[in-house]
Amino acid sequence: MKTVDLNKKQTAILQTFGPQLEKSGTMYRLWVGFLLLMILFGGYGLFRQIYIGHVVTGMRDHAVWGYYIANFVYFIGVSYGTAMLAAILYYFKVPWGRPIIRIAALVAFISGVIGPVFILLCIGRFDRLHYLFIHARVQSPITWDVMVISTYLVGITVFTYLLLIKDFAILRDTDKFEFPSWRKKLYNALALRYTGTSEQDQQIGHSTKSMAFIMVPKVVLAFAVLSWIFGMTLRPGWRSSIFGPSYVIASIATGIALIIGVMWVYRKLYKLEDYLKDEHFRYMSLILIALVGAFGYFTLSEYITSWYTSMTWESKVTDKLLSFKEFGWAFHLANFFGIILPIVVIAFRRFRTPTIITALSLLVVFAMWVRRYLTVVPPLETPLLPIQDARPEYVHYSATWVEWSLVLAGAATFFIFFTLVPKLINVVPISDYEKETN
Amino acid sequence: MKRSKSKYLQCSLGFRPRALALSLAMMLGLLSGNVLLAQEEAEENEPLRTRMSLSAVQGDEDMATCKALVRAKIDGRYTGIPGLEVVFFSITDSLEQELGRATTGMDGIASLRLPKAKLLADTSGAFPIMAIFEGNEEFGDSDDEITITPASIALEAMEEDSSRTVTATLESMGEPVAETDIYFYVKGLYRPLRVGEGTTDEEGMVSIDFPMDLPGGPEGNVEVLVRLEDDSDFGTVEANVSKAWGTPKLMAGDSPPRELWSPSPPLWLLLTFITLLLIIWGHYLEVIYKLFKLRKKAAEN
Amino acid sequence: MSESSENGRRDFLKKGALGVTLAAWGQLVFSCAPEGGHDHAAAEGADTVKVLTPDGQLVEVDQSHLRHVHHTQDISYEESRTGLPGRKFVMVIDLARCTNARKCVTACQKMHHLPPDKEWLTVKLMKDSEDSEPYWFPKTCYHCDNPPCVKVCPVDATFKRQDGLVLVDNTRCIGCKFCMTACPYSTRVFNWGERGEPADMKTHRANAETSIPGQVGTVEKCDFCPDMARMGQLPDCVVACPNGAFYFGDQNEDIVTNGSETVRFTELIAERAGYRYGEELGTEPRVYYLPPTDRIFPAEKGLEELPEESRKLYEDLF
Repeated sequence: MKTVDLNKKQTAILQTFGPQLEKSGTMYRLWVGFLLLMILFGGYGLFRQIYIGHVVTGMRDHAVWGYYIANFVYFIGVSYGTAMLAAILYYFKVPWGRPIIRIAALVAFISGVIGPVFILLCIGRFDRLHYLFIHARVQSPITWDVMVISTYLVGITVFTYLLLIKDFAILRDTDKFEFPSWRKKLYNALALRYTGTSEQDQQIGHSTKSMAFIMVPKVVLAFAVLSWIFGMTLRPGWRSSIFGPSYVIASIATGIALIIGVMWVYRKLYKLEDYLKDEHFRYMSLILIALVGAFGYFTLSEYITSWYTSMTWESKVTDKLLSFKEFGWAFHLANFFGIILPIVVIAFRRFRTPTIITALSLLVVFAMWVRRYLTVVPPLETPLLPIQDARPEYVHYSATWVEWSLVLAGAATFFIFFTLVPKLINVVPISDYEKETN
Repeated sequence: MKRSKSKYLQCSLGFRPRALALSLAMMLGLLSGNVLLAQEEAEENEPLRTRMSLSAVQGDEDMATCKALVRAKIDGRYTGIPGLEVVFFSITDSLEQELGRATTGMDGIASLRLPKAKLLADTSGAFPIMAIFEGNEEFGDSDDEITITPASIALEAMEEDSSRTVTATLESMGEPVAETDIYFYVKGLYRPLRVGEGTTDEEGMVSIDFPMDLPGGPEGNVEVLVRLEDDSDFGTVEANVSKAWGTPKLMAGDSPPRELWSPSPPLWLLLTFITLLLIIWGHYLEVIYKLFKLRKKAAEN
Repeated sequence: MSESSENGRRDFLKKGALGVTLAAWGQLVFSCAPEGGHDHAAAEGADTVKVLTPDGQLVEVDQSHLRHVHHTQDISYEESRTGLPGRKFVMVIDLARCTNARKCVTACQKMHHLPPDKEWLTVKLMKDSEDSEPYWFPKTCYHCDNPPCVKVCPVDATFKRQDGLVLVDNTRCIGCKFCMTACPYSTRVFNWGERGEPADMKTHRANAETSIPGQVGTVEKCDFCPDMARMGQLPDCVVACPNGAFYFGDQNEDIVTNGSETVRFTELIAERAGYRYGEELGTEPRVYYLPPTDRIFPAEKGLEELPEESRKLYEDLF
């Protein structure tokens, strides 16, 4: 049987990844155990919520959505953003993009799985979820979202898989490592009998390219539909035409920041300095500040218009965001650390080192989450009619441990995925280096 | 969550001494309490006193309806008692005859509808009626009696030259009744709407201009109701007539419109939705099909 | 402000502890006192009243169990979705007559088996501008003709009927709460936990016209009592209002009534300059308001009925 031939460069990469593909250390096992514990804790929170009802969460009438929806919007946005980045890098064959595409697609895949779980957590009746299909109303943005998200999830899964086929074949054929037999069988199945013929290359290349091509309009549509869940209501702070674009930009920026983080960790852990070079971080950081800059502009544009015109209901929301007695600290700090600081620092060439860029990216990752929270909760706490209720939990939303446990479980799922993936496949594609001269 | 729980704990600990003191105080009061309690229980065994008010409505087709409202004071308010059997009698000096029985409804009213011919008349031609509730374990007995003079209203509704007139003629035992206030209503879903009133003339007649723009009920019928209300001699006398003066609202085969808020979506929305899904899923299927083909072909080779 | 509400909560707990002790003694002394599984029920355990059952039996019950039942005629699923043929329900609320007596709120809660902290009908204190006088503002569901809540429902659980009512089928609702965020009037409420209805209510067949029994994890709201309309009875809030502030009726027949006065809807709206709240939102409510001119009582009077902690909420409006 014919096998995939490797050149020197490819063999070198394979050997770089060998150790962690083959075995795991104690620290590794502890880390995975810790993450599993967090997920289990989240599972306990979920059990309480299903068993007792949503009364165990901090959500109440008025603030009917909270951490769950903020997290949903955050993760699914990251997924869309990174999918779009991966698709564009692939489609236009951006030369420096090769090692990043796979990481981007993996981030897109796992965030795309985590995100929708959070909208499910927000639903009062799990037992009636199938009604979304059997009683679907085409007029509802939720129906659009259900369809778009499930369509998108299939798309990103197929796309990510297409990117991995060749490497599965390489791992199937290599005799450098001792894999247990189940792993060999798995690689064998996933490799789809790929042997590296030019016809097969062409086929896979064509399919991937067409998936990348359709990914862009699909993601734009998905972004639009998601932002319309908010935009199609009469609430100030949600019903604004810039909501969608602003959300798109913020999400792609968050996605890039996350990719930078993942890149940095992988580079450190697996000594990938030859593949994930400094210039990759530089390029990504430049895209990042361009995007957060645009997001800053959209933010300004949204809030300065509502502040200037000062329509009653609308400015109530804006005032809450600006006032230090309400959400002011969160809003201003998020804008400072998520928008202003990254732009200012990265503007100086000498600060564009991987570590500084990664640190700034982490700030962006947190700041954007805060901004997501601030788009979801303050408008809900600001209804048209006054809330004249003696119960403080009906006036102000504050999350309970159940919500925290599930938010942390979501983050743990993200981490555990990126911890386990290098066990299965090399995070830098080997197949992309086939054109390298021997 | 955690915070409020601990607060609760604090509170219940903090107030336990007070609760204890309260319990002691109650224990001391227990003896005297027992005496009071015994009295209360004795009272409870006695049936509750009831009150009855009897009224009668003389309607169309020589029919009359006797209405007995049975009430009792419950929690300081007189409340109609449902489910009690009331017996109606016609009583003259010489004769006594049971008219029938009826059970009180949710509002505490027992009503019995019967032809006037069944009622016994006294010497003056009036009908003395009595209603009795005999009492049961819980409610004491009560009764009431009234005497009504037979009367009837003849009703005529006319439309000519874009004006509508409703004329009512009140008569009692063949004689017109003058100088009596008559009210005109239109029946509504919940309560009748008063559209006019007047006092009968020498011939017992009164007419009103009926409003032209009343839309009437679902079928477009305007039900005119004319009433002499709670008269000391006649009780309530009423007559009604239905006229197709309104606009019907029941459209045959009314299906909900295609709107954002209706069960059926606007067509363009449905088409866009389906088209988009078909394009994307069609594309997916093509890619997945090709992958299968790839595998198959490799196997053949 | 938050401190004061915490005090309120503490007060409540205090009363609760007191009530529980009372109830415990009550059970010793009055052997007939019912078992109170619920804190609220137990707190009122010693308080019994005489009530009538629908078949006319006088029984003594715990006050917390004092619930009138919404009797639903057995109607088909289709009928509950299409509504009363040829009707178009409309409500007119006379703000001049509202004194925050809160009888409408308690009647509504009683008739729909709602716990004391769940209000389908709320009374708000409104103050339109700095110098204008505050007034009480009862808020039902507006049953909009262009309902934003119905638009966004993904499963057709909330729907608009031909008789104008917007109802929730709580056997269909998946609890996504999208309708709650879409409603600009914050009318809808969610069953965050169990409603705590009397146990016998659970056996009732759920029906979109009554939302009984309530279902945990679903949305519910004011329904204009369509089951009562089928029997020719007015909604509970209309009947309960001591001042006759609520007029209700069929817009098609142009008659509205508050129980004692019956008037033509168009004339009432024309004479008293009736308006709809939030007209600029384009929701086209089916509830009209008559402006609070020539009020029968000053707004302050409405504070008397309120517990101390709620009264504090309104203080800065006077």
